[in-house]
Amino acid sequence: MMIPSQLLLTVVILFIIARTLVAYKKNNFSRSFTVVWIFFWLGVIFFIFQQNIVIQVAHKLGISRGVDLIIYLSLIAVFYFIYRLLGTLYEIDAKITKIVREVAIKDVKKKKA
Amino acid sequence: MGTSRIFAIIPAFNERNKIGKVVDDAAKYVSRVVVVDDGSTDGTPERAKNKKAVILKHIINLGQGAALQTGFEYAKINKADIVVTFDADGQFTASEIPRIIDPILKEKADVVLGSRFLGKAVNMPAMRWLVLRLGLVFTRLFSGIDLTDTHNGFRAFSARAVERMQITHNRWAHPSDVIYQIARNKFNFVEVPVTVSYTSYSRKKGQSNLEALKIPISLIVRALLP
Repeated sequence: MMIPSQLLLTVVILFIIARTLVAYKKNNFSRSFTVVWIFFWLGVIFFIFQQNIVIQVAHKLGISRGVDLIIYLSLIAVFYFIYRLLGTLYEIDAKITKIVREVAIKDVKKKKA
Repeated sequence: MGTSRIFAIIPAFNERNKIGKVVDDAAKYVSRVVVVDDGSTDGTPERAKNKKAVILKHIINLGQGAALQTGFEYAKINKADIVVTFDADGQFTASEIPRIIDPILKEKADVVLGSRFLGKAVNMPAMRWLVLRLGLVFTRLFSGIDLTDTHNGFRAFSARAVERMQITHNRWAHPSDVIYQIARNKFNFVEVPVTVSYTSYSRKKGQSNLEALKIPISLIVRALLP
């Protein structure tokens, strides 16, 4: 019997999968990213219905509750994404700086010529 | 160095009221004044142009560190022997330029750093004194270089130093970036006394104490990035 939280999470995840497929059709995602992304969410659905497995893994790692394991993993993932995002922002910033600098120097060269 | 090509690099952002006098004063002591306009919207480049300075225009505002590096790139292309960096808000005293370039002319240093704590800090607010002192401790910890004043924009660089300088911190953390590069490149450096005058204008235009506190965070985050 499905409990309300399981039903709600499943609906949300199915929505994410549907949006992923639409993005893939529009060529916004590559085939490999789409496959990995969909498998990730299917995996989440699996754990939603097989919570005992999460609990067992948590106990093996010395964590008392399965939900705590999920929270810790989620926090690690969020920190990692922020780190990657900062790296990307820095790269974009460096590229913009390079363009602006080259335009500034080229303008002076042009005026001299 | 008999007839050295000495460039003054002046990063400027919305300094319409001050830039004319700053350029005039600096021009007495250098062979070329280069104003790097960092996306001003108040007519700063036009004012500087009237004073016969070379204007490099950033089409958007990037920050003082980025403007300085643009000036360095220009100096490399135009084969400057010495580059003096100078603020556009009128805080520095142009007549001290000969003193700051002297160690390079005598080939005693690659980089000369102005120090308001060896010289004079006129009307410096107490809070600014405290923030600058904290900055010294932080820079000493990270670079291993012991200085009396790290965040002073009045500096001089030899051509050899300019060639290797690569400021990557676009905004307020760039003075620390300069110090780290001195350490990394093992440049000979010396501090000389300079005067920094604080006015209500410079306090309004300059870095706020809150922004100064963001510098260590910015430096640590950047150091950890791939």
